[in-house]
Parts: sequence; C-alpha cells; structure tokens
Amino acid sequence: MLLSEQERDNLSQDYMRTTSRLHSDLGICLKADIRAAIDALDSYIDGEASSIDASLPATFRNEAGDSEKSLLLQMLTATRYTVGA
Amino acid sequence: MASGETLLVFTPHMNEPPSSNGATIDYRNQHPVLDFDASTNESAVFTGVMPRHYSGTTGVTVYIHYAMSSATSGDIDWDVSWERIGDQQLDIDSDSFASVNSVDNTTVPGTSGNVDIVSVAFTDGADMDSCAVGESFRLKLTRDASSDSASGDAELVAVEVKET
Repeated sequence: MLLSEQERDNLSQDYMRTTSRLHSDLGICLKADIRAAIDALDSYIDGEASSIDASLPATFRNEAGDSEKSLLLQMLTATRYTVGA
Repeated sequence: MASGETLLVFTPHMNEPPSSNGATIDYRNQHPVLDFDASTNESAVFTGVMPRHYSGTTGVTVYIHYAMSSATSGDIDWDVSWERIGDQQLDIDSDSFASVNSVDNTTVPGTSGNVDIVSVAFTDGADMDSCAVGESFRLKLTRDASSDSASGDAELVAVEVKET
C-alpha cells in the first residue's frame, strides 16, 4: 500500500529537518525534487514489496513481523551506504 | 541623522518567539541562528524602540541576513510586518501587526553557509503601523515556506533596520 499524500508530506518535512540539522549536501535539490524522490521510492518499494519479502529465507520470512522486516531493511540500507557498498 | 543610517540591529537571541510556529534557536559553528522551517511558515519577533534620531519621514528598510542550512538552489520568500505598541496605543494582550511587506523569489546562495542579505522597504506611516520616534514596537519576520522552493531550513543571522 502506498503512503498517503499526508504521510509523504510528513516524511518530506522530517527529511528536510533532518538534513538541515546535519547540514547535508543535497546539491541543487528543491523541495519539489525531494518530494518527487519520496514519491518514486515509495512507489518502487510498494511494487517490489512481494519480491523483497520473497527474497528472505523462509524462517525469517515466516517468523518476523512487518516491523522487524522493515527495521532490518532500514538498517541494511543504512549500513550499505555507510560502508559504500 | 541622515537617511541611510542604521537605526537598530536584532540578533537571534533577541527573538521573542510567537506562541506557535516560532523559529528556533540553533548554532552553526558557534554562530547563533534562528532556524525557519521549509514546510511550515515560522516567525521570529523582535521588540525595539524607534530611535530618537529617526527623522520620521523617510521610512525604513529592513535588511535580513540569512544562510541556508543545506540548500544551494531554489528561492526563498520573507514577509516582514510592524506592530506599533506606542504610548497608550496598543493593549498588548493581543497582537496587532500591520500588513506584511515581502521580498520574494530571492535565489539562495550557491554555498549553504554563505550569508545573503535581502531587504524590505517600508514607507513612513501606516506601512510601518505608524510607529513614531520614541515608541516601542515589534517587528515580525516570517519565512513564507508555503511559497518558496529552497529545501531545508533558512538560518537568520541578523536583522538591520535602517533609515531609508
């Protein structure tokens, strides 16, 4: 299920507040570019949700809940960027 | 005092935040700044007394010194308004800011830490809520985040009020 417009708005606000606090380098990105990235990534993940779930080993797939799976995906993604993988 | 002279300077620690949607204090390399959100129209409020050397005829120009937290492109919009407190003029139990004057569509600096200066002019009289020499007033700055395009926070460094 895709995030609602309000949920995407809230995410965009949170993202900008976080990147502002970190003085992150977003190049020439405008507010609209950030929102477009959220829209695209949300749509991609929504379309690939079944594939992502199917990629998990059966034990973890069947035993872990959605929140545990999303936490693993979040931590794995962050780690991959941290180590430059 | 000749026109063109500085009347007042306000810095971030002088902010008297409104009851809601106030800009928040932050520090950038030990520089105090006021952060204005990119999604919510946030404001800062400063109280002053109109200096005795203001001529009372030429109006004033408000200079806004700001940097962007992370953005290096896009534009920013600022609104400025005056509230005359005066001598038995205003019951301060409620706000009474005059209509805003704006500086809009300013392209932000290409380096996020660079401080840009933009200005908003006010004619003497109703435009500045008829604030007279020796009277106290409040000056309200708002980032019109609902209209501008630059991402992330804007950081207010200082405000100068100059006789036009």
